Amino acid sequence: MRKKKNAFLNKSFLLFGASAILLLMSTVGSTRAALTYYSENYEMQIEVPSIGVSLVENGQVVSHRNYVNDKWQENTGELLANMLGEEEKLVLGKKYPEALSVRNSGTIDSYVRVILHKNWTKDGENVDTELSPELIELNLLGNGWIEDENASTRERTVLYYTQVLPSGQETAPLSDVLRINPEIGTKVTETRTTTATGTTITTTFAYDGYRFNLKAEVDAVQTHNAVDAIKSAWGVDVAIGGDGSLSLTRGGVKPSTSAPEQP
Amino acid sequence: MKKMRNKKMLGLAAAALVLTAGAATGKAMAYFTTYVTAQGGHELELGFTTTIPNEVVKDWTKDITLTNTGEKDCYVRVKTFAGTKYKLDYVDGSGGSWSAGPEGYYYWHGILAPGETTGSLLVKIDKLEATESFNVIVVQECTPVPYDEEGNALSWDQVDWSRTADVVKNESQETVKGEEGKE
Repeated sequence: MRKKKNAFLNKSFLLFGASAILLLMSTVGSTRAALTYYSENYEMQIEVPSIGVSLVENGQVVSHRNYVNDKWQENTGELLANMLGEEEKLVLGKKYPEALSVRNSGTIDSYVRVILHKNWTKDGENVDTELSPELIELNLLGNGWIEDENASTRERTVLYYTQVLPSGQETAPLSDVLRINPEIGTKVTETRTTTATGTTITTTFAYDGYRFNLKAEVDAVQTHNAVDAIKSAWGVDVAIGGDGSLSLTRGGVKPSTSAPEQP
Repeated sequence: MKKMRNKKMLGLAAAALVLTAGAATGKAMAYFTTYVTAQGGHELELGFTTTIPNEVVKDWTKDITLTNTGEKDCYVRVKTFAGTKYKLDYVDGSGGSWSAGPEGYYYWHGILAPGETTGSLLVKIDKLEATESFNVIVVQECTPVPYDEEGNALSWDQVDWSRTADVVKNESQETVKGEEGKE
């Protein structure tokens, strides 16, 4: 009877022991991370996989966000800062260089997408909804980028790069030039003010003082287990081909080019 | 009783395993992601374009110049009207910068910057046999300088003078105090 009781206790201790070992093993990862943090020699010898992405405008990095040495290194710059020279005024209809691309500044390969926002503001930050964002013409090239038409609006364009972006590499440019449609300069407001002394007619450009804005958001995600990772991070369903090519698994996708479609 | 104890212990062990698995699940769902943004823009300075004519009459000759009083570079053209009894002759007083062109206008070749004034266009008036007084009316027009896609200004003879503006009209009435009820 006593033997049987001991056997039962041994079995229980064995089970508890196994559970404790499993629990300990689940924390080994964190312990390792702590070790690499404190050991300089160890840091020098291994390359910790990290993700990073940079937005490139006309060959220059504008913004970047990279995970380096267990912390984020980031800088947010300004788009279109070099579009006009000093004292230079914007010319309607002129094509200004605006080549946007994405660089993988991390140590792991990634998939990337870009969300472009265009709008007009008046009097500071008030977004004007009467003036069409389509008058801000950013010429899209395709070049391996596809547009998700279901997610795009007149103000927003969602583009996916269809290839894996290897570490250190840069995508083909998604755009080449930007221009403001000159039609905006043909709209004038004529105000007739009648007073006791007569009528005064004042003519002004309807959109004088308006500001056009362009914003680019770049997202990057790991290529390992990409379908689940992209679903989790971006909320979209994608398919990954045998060669690593990415495609959206719902309709409304077209090559992201501004060129008119062939009949 | 023993069986009950066994079941209890097995239940506890199973719960420990589930907790262990649960602790690992969080790591499996973490993915490497990052993002970056940038934005910018520019304000439209469309300004306005307006010109005024300057006329000096001397020895039956009207000396016409045009001044850009607006905020933008522009091209200008001018023409004159008089009764059929009178003859008007045009002489370029600027050394070749005025040319006769379509629609009976004389066109200034250069871009007229804000504040600048054209050279003279001399209009010689031959009153022939007329004895009564008469008027020579000057009509002048200006248009903002158009640019091509590279940002280069088009020349004066490439300008489309038939372009029309999309005009939005506003009306307002201002009543002067103290004058209400007056006829």
